[in-house]
Amino acid sequence: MRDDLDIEIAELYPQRPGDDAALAALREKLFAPRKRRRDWTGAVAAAAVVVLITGIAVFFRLPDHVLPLAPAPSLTEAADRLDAIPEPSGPYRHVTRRVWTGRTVELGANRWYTYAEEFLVEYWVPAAAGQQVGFSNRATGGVRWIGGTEPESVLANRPAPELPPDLRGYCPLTPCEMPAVTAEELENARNNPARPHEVFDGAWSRLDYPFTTNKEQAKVYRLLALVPAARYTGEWIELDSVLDGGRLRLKVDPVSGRFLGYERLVPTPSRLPSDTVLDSVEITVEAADKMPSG
Amino acid sequence: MFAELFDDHAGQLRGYLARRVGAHVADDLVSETFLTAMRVHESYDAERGSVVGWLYGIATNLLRGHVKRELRLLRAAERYGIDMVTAEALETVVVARIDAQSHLRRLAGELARLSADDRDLLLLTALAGLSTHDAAIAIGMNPATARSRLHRLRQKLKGAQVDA
Repeated sequence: MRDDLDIEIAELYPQRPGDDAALAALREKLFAPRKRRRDWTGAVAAAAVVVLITGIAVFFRLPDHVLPLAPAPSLTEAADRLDAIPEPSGPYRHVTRRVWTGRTVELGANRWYTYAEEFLVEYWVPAAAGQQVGFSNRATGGVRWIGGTEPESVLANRPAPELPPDLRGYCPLTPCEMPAVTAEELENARNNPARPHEVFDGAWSRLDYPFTTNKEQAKVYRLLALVPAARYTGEWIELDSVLDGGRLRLKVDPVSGRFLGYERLVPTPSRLPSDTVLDSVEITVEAADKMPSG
Repeated sequence: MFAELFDDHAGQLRGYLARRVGAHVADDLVSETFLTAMRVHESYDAERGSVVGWLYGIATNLLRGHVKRELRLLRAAERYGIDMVTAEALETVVVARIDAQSHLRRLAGELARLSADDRDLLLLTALAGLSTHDAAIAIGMNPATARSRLHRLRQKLKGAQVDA
């Protein structure tokens, strides 16, 4: 039976108009019988792609010390390199996120201070579907002074660490996939340069999602490469736009193309210097044989 | 079989996802949910719960990747006392006048501070209309635990309603 709480929830999340045409198109796409291609040029092109990809994969699977690689000159090149990296093999992918979260304490009368506290979030993602994902999160006790009107010693009286809401939950059962980059998104990125933050936002969510694979991340790089306002500096992908209360930049390993995390800088104007990093996330992914017990 | 499943549930699933993260994202999520369902159909175990719980479980997993977006909209809803549709509109257009509603401000703040599991449990039952059992299956929780957790959660939110 609906009560006042249900009514308020429905008011906060209003009904959106249904879209029967979109659903019908989706149904058609999902369930219509596929036509077989008879065009032999398609087969030749596909074979050529296989040869090319195999070549790239062989090239990049060589040990690093044998053939040092120069930084990728473009985001699409970084995507190609990332595409060629095999996923960690093993029963589990162990994803570690070292997170620094900025926090400001207002003391009144224009007195304030900002600091960052550190959290460690880990996921053990089974390769098989329908399996339980392992998860742990904790404050490490790490603290970093950022700035303010008070002396740094005020940190001794800082509030207890508070895990950000988006680090508390996780995908409980495999598969834990994000929606793939669609043709419509690519089209939108190419043709709507006036709204780059929408593309950047979707790209950031996918890259930062701990279950996104190398191949999916490579597709996201290619999507971002279409956004004229997104700059690739060889280490960072940046956008001159404020997202989630700050300026975001996504960190890319310039040689391997791996996504390493991101930083959120203060918005401008701010009481802090314009290049101050408020939040940062460092991501590592490796194969694991088992989940920790308990 | 999957076409029937689509006919029976896709509309409602899209409606639920659109309310949480917007229509555009919802379309992608519905598509991915059914593609994933077709790929991992062997993971469905009728002994554990209904197909609805399983399907919404896949959708909930996919939705977790958009938690940042939902939290950002909830924070805007909290700041201005508005609903999620208006919060979404604020991202792209300048709104001349906003009628702030204090109860929406409070509720949005409370929801933003919940864990993803608790928020999903609450909204799967309150918005999607799932039974507590199906919602528990969807988020991979023991149904008995989900029942008591949902009860405590609703009491807490109702307590905040009274205090406001």
